Amino acid sequence: MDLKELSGQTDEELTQLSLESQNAFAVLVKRYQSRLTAFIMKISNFTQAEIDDILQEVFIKVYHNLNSFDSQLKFSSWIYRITRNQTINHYRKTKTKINQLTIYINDEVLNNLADDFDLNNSIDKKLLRLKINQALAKLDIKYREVLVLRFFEGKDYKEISDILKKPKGTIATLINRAKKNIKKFLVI
Amino acid sequence: MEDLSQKIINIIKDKKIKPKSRWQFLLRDYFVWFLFTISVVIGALATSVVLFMIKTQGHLLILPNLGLIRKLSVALPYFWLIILIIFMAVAYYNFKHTKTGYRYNTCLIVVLSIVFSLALGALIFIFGMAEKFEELTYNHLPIYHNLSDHRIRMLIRPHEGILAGWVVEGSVSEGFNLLDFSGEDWLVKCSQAFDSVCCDCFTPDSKVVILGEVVAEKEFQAQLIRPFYGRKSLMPMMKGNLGPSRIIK
Repeated sequence: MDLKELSGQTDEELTQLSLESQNAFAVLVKRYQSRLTAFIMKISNFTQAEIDDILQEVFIKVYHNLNSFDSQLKFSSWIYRITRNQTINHYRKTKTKINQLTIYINDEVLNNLADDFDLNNSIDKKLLRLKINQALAKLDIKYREVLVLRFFEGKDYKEISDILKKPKGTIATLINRAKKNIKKFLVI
Repeated sequence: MEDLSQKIINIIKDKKIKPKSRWQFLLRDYFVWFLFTISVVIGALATSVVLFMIKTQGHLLILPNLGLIRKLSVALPYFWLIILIIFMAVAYYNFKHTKTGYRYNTCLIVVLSIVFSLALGALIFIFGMAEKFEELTYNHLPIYHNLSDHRIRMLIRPHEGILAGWVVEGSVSEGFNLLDFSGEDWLVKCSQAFDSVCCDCFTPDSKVVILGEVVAEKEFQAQLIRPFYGRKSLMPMMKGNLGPSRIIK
């Protein structure tokens, strides 16, 4: 198959094809590279060089474990799981302290956050974005990652459960606690 | 700057990285389920022995004038309760590490494990396998063998008011001969304030536990007699035999 044909395949089909063709795997890498980069940045604030290292480890791991992919899962959940685990490992190894985050929050996400956290919508959006970034930076990583997955990556509870390997009830609890914690930090 | 996808492909080629074979993952999955199953089965066996011991020795908990620690040491199947807790924890751990185990919350898994162990354990107990398993453990596990013998020894403290052994011959009204579990012969007489609930305790080779006091050399005055149940190997091999098949040293 040529690259054009491969690009039209679903993630799950590309996973199967990657067992025989490295070109198919290259298409998967291209498809997920920027999404996973953005995800790692949101939960960790690592430098670009560190993110590149983590991504490299992730994709090598994905390739090495292609036969363990369970088709009952979404491929995106599986690769996000591996990415999250590698990021957390790196985070613990380097004992990174996050002083600030620079997540770009688009209007849709901003409005969702404002609604969900009962924030005052009349506040200047630039200020609100800054405050949310500051609040996210202060959160414990276990709360930050669920909020990022829910509000920034648009994952539903089942997907977050599959990514973090926790029951859906626990995910709901973590999100509620994350919201309570973030409200404390949002002094507006 | 090198495209990441090309970089990854080059690393895969240079290091000759290949996807792990499917059977390796399947083997791991089957092994986890195997460990889970074994843990559940052992948990159920432990449950069955707990039920067996409560049935045969639970009444010792309500013996009057017997210290709480001694009662708990003799009557409570703490070894089996610990085994049950350990193997339920192992079962929980292995279940959580199955492919979809993470989807279920801890409470649900623990409750289901307890219910399943109780149900399977009760079945094993009903079919009489609990006693056989307990005997097997006694014969093959030194630590349990020693613990079990220690528990029996706690019942042979005549100068502390407790005695246990086989009824050799005699009756409640006239007194009876008792061979205690350490092999000593006793003459047991019953005091005026005598309490016995067992009519069938006084057939030869029956086992009893007696509360009372030593009144003379190898003579014990009983205030309370209760049946004592235990594994078959504590029984004498046959009637007429001078001693039991196994004497606790």
